[in-house]
Amino acid sequence: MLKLIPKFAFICLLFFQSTSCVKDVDFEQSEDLLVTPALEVSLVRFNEAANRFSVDGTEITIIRDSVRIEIFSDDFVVDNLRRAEFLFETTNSINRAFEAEIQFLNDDNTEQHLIQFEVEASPTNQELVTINEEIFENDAINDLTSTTKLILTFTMQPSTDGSVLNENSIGSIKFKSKGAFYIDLISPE
Amino acid sequence: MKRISLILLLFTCITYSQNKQVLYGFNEIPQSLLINPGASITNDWYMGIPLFSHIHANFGASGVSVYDVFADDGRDFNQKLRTAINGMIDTDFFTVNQQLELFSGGFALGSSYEKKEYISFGMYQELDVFIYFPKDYAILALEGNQNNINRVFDLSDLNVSGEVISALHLGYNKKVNEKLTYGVRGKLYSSILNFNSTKNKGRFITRNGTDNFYEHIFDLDLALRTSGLKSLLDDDNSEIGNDVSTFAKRLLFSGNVGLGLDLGFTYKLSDQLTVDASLQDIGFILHSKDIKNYELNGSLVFDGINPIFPETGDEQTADDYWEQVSGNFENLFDVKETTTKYTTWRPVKLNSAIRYSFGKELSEECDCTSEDSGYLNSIGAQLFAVNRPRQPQLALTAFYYRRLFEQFRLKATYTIDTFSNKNIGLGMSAHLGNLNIYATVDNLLEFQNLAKTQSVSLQFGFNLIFDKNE
Repeated sequence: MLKLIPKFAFICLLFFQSTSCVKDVDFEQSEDLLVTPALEVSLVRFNEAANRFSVDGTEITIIRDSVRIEIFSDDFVVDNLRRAEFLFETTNSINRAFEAEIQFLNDDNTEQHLIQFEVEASPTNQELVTINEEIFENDAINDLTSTTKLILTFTMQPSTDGSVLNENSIGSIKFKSKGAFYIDLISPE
Repeated sequence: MKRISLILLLFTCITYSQNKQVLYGFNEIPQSLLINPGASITNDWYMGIPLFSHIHANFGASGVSVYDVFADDGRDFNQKLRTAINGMIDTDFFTVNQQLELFSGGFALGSSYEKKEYISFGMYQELDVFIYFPKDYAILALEGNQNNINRVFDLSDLNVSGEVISALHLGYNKKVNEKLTYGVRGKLYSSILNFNSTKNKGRFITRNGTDNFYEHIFDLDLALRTSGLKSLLDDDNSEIGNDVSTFAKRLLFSGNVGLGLDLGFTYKLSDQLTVDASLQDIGFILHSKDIKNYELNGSLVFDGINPIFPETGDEQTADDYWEQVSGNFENLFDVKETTTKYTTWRPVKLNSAIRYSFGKELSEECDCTSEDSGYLNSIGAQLFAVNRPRQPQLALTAFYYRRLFEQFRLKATYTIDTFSNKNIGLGMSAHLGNLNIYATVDNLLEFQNLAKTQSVSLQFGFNLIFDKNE
């Protein structure tokens, strides 16, 4: 009789298995899984006083730096990024206008995308805010995901009266930027 | 066939909490001694059928059922998933508990007419997994930070633990007098596998910044400790079979061992009123072999990259600056690996009951009640609690016990716990000659559709029992 016990146990298991059941559920729905987080990240910022555009009495008219950004070309971003929005906010209280340029470059330093905008002069040294938005969607996403470097150039325009900035010039130019990244995560095949 | 039975067994493991409310106090079943070493014992000696004497499986998910998410009702799956996630809180949890008795036995000591002491022994394997719902991580993954500016994402929401152990045990039970019986059980644990990440701290916040739109605050203090896992992950074989044989060896000789104690008593307040209580698994395991721990520590406030305009005469070069920014992030997310020994405490379980027995059997010969036949019915209430990382998990049970024939006993339970307020359980113990067969299940109301249930517990087993009056 003891030999029957394993069989009996198995039958017990089968009994529980068959009397209990899982109804009205469809696990294949997991194939429709779509997770859409939206991430916002601070990007480049600077704050330069007017007197820093003057070195030993000579005016510096172009400020430029490259920023290496590897996150755009990260595999996760490349595979899942649906839309990206960039917001640039420039607050100028220097009595000089600027031309701003943001170049998106790939590994070979080839330009993928270019953003240009103008920043007004502030004759009364009041803070003037310029806002620019840039959206990457559809095919343009590829321009972003192939980008590994940003080059930021602010070119100061000549003054209308021919004056130059010196160590006592007042005002500043502040730059803030952020990116909003909309991710579409679908269930793996 | 082997594979199918393995899958079936696994499925029963997965589909069926640590609470054995039906088995507790069901003293005709020898395995009730494992829950309360101070139970009052009715047999002279017993032997569990090896591997089949106690099979227990329990599954629980507070706050959500499979049906909530996977119901075939035409509603959008992603909507159901979001509703489920938003509906859960960070103390909701998922738990799986499974036990398999490898062997067990017990015998009474003392003179043949008055045996007041009882020795029991055995060995079982146990799997216990306890995972809190990582709410803030889920929200961050689901929504991102855009609509959660200023929200503190609490990283302590990650709280998971799991273990596979074996326990070799020896119990002693003594009936002091007609009123009091007590018992103790010593346990030697061997840890087959352990992982735990229960003391995480830290936060992630995105808030409005001054120099840029946002300040991102990272404050990470996370750790995961594992033992018994490294050798399985490092070995070259991908054969499950090899890992199973490694497990089998570790049942006795894992090197990560611990000690435990169970305590219990039964006290008769009167002829009909009894109280009993037990504490199980007051014990620890020392993990010193095959350890791999991971730690993530660091804090950083990031508000963007400040490019260096060399033209404006800053001392620092752009390259230096880059080293610094990427270095900060690398340090922040640098996972340190250690092999530091650690100790885990077993989840302590409390069981207690008060029972009232009534209704003696009428003797057919004299139409009177027999003095020593005992009562046929009992009703009562039970309290169960198990210690968990954040807060104890509790269950309150009302029960009715009935002896139908000398050979057949039933127990029905109604339990209120974290999972359900209408959990009906049923257990039976039958004696066919010396063979004892028992089975208990709970959540019967949900049995027709397990998808809707949040927990199921199941035990069954076979013993050979030899009674005093034989």
